[in-house]
Amino acid sequence: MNNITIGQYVPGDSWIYKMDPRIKIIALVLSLVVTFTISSFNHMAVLLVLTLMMILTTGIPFLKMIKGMKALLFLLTFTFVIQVFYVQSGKLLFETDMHLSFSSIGALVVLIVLYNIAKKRTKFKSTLFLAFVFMVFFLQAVLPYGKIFSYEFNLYEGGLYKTGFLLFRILIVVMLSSLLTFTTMPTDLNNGLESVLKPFKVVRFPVAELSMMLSITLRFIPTLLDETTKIMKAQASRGVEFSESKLKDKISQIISLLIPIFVISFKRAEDLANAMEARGYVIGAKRTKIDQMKLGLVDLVSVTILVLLLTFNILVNTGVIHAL
Amino acid sequence: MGIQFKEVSYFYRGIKNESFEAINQINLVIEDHEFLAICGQTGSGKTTLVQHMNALLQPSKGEVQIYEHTIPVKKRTDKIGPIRKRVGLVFQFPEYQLFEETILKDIMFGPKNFGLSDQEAEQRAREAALLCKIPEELLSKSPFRISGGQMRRVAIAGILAMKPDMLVLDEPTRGLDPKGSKEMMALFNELHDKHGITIVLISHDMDIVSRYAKRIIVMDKAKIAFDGTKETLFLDPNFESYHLARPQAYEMMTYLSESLNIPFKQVFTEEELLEYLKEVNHE
Repeated sequence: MNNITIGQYVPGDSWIYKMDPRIKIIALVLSLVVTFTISSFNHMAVLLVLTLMMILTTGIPFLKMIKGMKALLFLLTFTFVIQVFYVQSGKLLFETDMHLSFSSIGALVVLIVLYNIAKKRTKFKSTLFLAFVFMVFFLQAVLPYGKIFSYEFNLYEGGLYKTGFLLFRILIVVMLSSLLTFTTMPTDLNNGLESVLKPFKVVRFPVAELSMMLSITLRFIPTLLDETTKIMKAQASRGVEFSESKLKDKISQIISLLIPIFVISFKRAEDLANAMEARGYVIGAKRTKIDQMKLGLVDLVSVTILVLLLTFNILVNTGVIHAL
Repeated sequence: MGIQFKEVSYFYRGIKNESFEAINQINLVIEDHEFLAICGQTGSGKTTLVQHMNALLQPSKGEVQIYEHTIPVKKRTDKIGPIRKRVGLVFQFPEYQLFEETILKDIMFGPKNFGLSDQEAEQRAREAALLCKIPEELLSKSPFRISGGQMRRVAIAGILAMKPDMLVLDEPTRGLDPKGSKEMMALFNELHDKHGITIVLISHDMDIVSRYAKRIIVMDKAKIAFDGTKETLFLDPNFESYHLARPQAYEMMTYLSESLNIPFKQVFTEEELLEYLKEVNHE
């Protein structure tokens, strides 16, 4: 229960922490636009290097960044496999026949069993997963005995470029977005978002209310987790043991957890609403902020760099400048 | 023998992976048919201690012997479910654990989890409701439409319906009005006297503790600072360091003996005080 960390703020003191949260949000949007308008592999590679360099200067531990990527490993591998198989352009680099045969299917079954056993024993789950995916295809290539079905695997240069391009894009997007949550406190993020969305007030979009809702939600996540643990324990002493019961019983046991949580949250919401009103909160009324946001030199520089990158991009895309 | 703690410690993990000790090398034996009270400041480890009594928490170090079970379990096949049937734990504000459509069904939830049939569970639920003095006509109502005090009775009935040999209560009278808490304590006393259930009670209210408990444990900074009877507790030289109050009757006695020169005698309840005063008056 306590492993869930939302926002994942990493305390620090580098230049990116001193940036205005509003600018950080705008910068993220701008850089995402840049990432999605780039059309050549070389430019994407340059952008990836730039992103990595930027991360190095922010003082965020690189390991933490990579740990965040782990959740994406499956998606990345999947994209890689699909792309390598289906993009067939450019020079042919490598070709082989793949076989689905009695021998290779047998070997695959053994492999899956071995993988599941090894998964519980080892700490290097990601490496193991990659090795597993490689072995799945390797076995199909080297075990043709007792053939049922076979197909060709052709690796083209274009396929590799396209895959690299997509992988880089995903990596950049994820790294930049997590950089925002790593280096901005949820409250600052919320204030920044409110400020950035302010123009939408013209079309009667409830910006202030939305940001209040957001900050209340973030504030109450740990509280609710706490309550959940309490209720879980209380129900456990009435014989609810999630690990020791059958699936059929589990359903009613989950209900015994959900209903009290709902009751508690409604009660809390009501109390909170009363407490807010007692302190003079009026929906839609103008409020002042305790932290005034100020623009600094870093903000100016970063926005300028991003705007330059974006213009360069647009110029390349429209053919005014020729790409490298 | 009921429960035995052998050198039990429990550590909480902090955000930065540092550990805090909630209880530290606890040695404690709770016999059958005891009425035990646990006192101590907030944060002294009382709740952590009682959560070990029905295996909700497993000790980081040491061993807890709960009837014939040993925690932590040695073999995978040993289940901890049966322990919870024998030791009923009532949490602070137990009314929040209610969830069923009707009160009767909610009381039946515990027994049914331990594998009883619907008829048996219902019979037990009705018995438990009678014991907790929940009116018959309430049983078919929703547990969310009754008062807070009654909700607590229902929650306690839900534990009693499992017919535990030991009842562990974490501040059962907290948030109740004086009448409600008096009735609640009378119920536990009756369970102890008539039905022979072992009671372990966490409470800050020294009036309640000294009126009912036969043995008192004081927790201080994750350790047991005092273990003994009420008569010795209030005379303990370290009493001030436990941050406990004395019972009202006891304070009154102290005041009277100082102001009226009545010879001091330990009294714990208003009745005892009155009796003693009458006695003194006669002489």
